Amino acid sequence: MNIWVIDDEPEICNILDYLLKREGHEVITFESPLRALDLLKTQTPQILVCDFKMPVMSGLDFFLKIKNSWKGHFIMLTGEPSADPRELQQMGIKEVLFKPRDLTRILSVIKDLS
Amino acid sequence: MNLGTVAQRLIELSGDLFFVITREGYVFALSKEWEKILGRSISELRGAPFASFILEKDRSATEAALAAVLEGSDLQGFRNHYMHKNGSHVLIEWRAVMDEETNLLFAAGTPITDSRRQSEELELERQKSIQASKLASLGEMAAGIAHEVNNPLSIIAGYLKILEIEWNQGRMKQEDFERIMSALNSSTERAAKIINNLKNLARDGAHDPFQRAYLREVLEGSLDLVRERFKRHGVTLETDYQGELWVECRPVEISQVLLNLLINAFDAIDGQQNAWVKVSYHQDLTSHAIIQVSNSGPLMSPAVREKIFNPFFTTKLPGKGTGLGLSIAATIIRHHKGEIYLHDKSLNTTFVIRLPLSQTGNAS
Repeated sequence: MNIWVIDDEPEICNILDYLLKREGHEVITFESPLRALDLLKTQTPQILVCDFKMPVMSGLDFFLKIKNSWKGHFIMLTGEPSADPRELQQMGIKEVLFKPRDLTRILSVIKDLS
Repeated sequence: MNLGTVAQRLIELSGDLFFVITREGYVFALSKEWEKILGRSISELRGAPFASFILEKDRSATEAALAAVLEGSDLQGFRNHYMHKNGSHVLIEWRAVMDEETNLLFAAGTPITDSRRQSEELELERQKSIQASKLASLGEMAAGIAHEVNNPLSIIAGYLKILEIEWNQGRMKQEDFERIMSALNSSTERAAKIINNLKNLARDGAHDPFQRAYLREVLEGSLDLVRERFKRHGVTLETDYQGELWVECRPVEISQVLLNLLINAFDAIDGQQNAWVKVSYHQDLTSHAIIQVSNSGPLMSPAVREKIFNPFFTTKLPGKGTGLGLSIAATIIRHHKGEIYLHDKSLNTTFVIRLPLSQTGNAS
């Protein structure tokens, strides 16, 4: 699978890059959603793993920007304990995972998607 | 006319609400004012059971209050409703004592008018909304801090997973191991540091004793809470501390004021190119510490500057600010006999806190 990871925390990008590549996926990481937006014009990943709270553009704003043009699996990764998964699901985000407990669970979620 | 009758006449003629009742609860004497309240004549009222004028719903509370007075305790601030002959009610607040010598209960009351009740209710509402906003801003801060802690925790969880995998495969290189250990250590320290500072800030420091505190340390405690966020958002944090200053203060409260200024500064410049926040202090000629917090954000308009310390005034988006931060900060600084204001000649938005080094005025 072709997976993109977007998180402003470089270490989280490193970890997911390592774990996902180990499972045989192709991975590209971004520390800013703006760069991902740019690259989305020419490439289409199958799965996007995106942090919720980021400077300049939040994960939610990013999702709302791409949801009509990009068809793939969107996984929101959030460190906000107050984030309401149901609210996000109503907006079309099917998977909401919480940091830190779900960080490694991401592997099984992606396995189920493939 | 004996003394008892004189006293009775005095009570009757008084413009206040007096009541004297017997141990058994019958009206012994009362002031003329009662005629207006109850719509009955004094002669009609004298000797009547006192409870009969009280609104049904207040009777059991009144009996309990009376029983306490009969046992010797003083009654203050007790309220009950009285019924006028025409059906209207009046709320009266009471003070009452039992006089052992005469075996009579003496009570003086004040009618609670609608306007007084309204202003009391208004005050209560105001208190409630300040409390709610305090909780809301606490909630905002808690969510922000949870996020700051969850990130290093996720890094720890992630690297532990990687360690487990690599260990099982038995082919881990020395340099990879060292790199992971260092990430684990720095993430643990990052989380611990936030929690450590939080321990102070979560408390209400308003009743702490004043103590001589190292100003640099107080400021650094607040800076540690935002340093990571500033860094990740590309905001440069500059400090300029001139000398070592000891300030007699409530350190927790001063940290809270500073954190508030830092969060405001951050919100004002988030997203800006080459954004910076600067914190400095120095001592002036009048034994005051001058602490300044400035940022690279746009200057405030005169209209905003004027209202910036008012409670509930905010320029932040709905849900982002309560408009209480700076008004609480101003209260805290006032309690320190200091001042907080906007620097009016600075080219950037600069908040100035002027704090006396000593609360008693003999600064060293």
